[in-house]
Amino acid sequence: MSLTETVLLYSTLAAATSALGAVPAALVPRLPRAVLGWANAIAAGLMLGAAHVLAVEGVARSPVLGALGAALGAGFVWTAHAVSGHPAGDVPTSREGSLVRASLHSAAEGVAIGAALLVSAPLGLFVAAAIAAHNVPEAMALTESLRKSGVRWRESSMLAVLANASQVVLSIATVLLAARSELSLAVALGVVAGAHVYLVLVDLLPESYEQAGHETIAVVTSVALGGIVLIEATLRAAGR
Amino acid sequence: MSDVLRVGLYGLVTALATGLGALPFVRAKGASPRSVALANAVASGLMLGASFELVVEGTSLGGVQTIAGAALGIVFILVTERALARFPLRLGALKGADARRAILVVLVMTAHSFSEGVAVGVAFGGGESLAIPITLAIAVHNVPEGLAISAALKSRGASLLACAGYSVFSSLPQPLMAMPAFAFVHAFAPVLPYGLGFAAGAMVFMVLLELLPEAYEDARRDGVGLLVTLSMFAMILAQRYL
Repeated sequence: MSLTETVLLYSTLAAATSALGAVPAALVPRLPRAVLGWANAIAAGLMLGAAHVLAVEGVARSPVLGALGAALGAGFVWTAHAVSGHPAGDVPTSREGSLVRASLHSAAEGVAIGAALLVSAPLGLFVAAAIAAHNVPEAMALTESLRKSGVRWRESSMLAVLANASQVVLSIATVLLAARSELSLAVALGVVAGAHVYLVLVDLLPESYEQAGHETIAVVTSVALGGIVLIEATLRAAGR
Repeated sequence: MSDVLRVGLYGLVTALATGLGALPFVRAKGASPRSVALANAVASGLMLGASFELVVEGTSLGGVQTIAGAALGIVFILVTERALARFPLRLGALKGADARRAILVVLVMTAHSFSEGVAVGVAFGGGESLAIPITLAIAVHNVPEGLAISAALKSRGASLLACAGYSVFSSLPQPLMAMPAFAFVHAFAPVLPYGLGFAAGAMVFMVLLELLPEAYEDARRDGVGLLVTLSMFAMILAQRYL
């Protein structure tokens, strides 16, 4: 299987797991706020974990280009938020707003899968799995917010998967563009690490603190983050 | 001068350098809630950047040990916070919740210096020729750590002298731990990943539990997000090159 086919497969599978996020919405009429807080915190921890793993690879190639990429990544998301009319990362109340926000998240995740796959096949699989896992709670929160704006759960679960289409496109674009040199890969890894950290700080964490309280969120986020770091370190040690 | 004493002396120099982190606040006057929030964001980013490096080093020595250490670090913060909440606290001009948060920041940064001290001692154990370059590198690397402490303390109303003092205090474990670690390198080396993980876990948890929620209260999310991300990667860059 070529690299492009592999990235297409990984990112499509990761995007498809979003559908699972709609399951709770199908079972209960309304999810408790605290559960949404947990979902957001798990998504935040997994995203921070992925950012950590990618930043390690980026700054190992070039600390300056990796850090510069991170600043670019955060700046890119800030600009995208400003253009979409939510500069402070406020929670969009409209259906379109929620979808734009979700698409932006998954675009960054697409770059993550592509860049990780360029580092190595196992890292690509690992990051795709982490993102697939994080797509479930993220889609759960998105489905709930769409449901609040009057969308039925079947349609909202489809929209949650569709919002992840940008993940597939961006993952392929990253593989094609960043494969040129180690330095362009360092920038791409930095961009995605910076974008992930910024997205967690602007979207996921503030919302989850409001939904479930500081201490719970700090514990849940740390456990998810620690889990990713541990799995990655174990895989790295096994590969040596 | 014995080698052990020399390691301690070098460690003292690096601890004193931490006090320089208070310098950018010489001209800072009374703090608005927004500037407290933004200072918290900068402190968060610097602490996340420092943890990043500790985790990279820790996991290269042992992933399970590092994460076990991190879990202990989280428990340490939870227990300490509950214990501190029982007493009416004062730290210089600070009282109540401000004093509790300031004490926690100083505590986690001090805990982090313990593991750094062990790391320094073990590294010195590798050979005397590297002693001065390593000392210089750590001294410079300590300045942004002093900056993180000063940002958290000064914005809550602590004096400049207190900021510098607590910064130096937080780094004192470096020489204290570097000496025995250097002398008994074989005994300390296996503990190192636990210590690095403990420090990283305590710092990340402190950021998630106290500093970020406080930052979000009085500043916009985008400002907090940008400051944390940029200062985090600036710290990583500083630690790689200094």
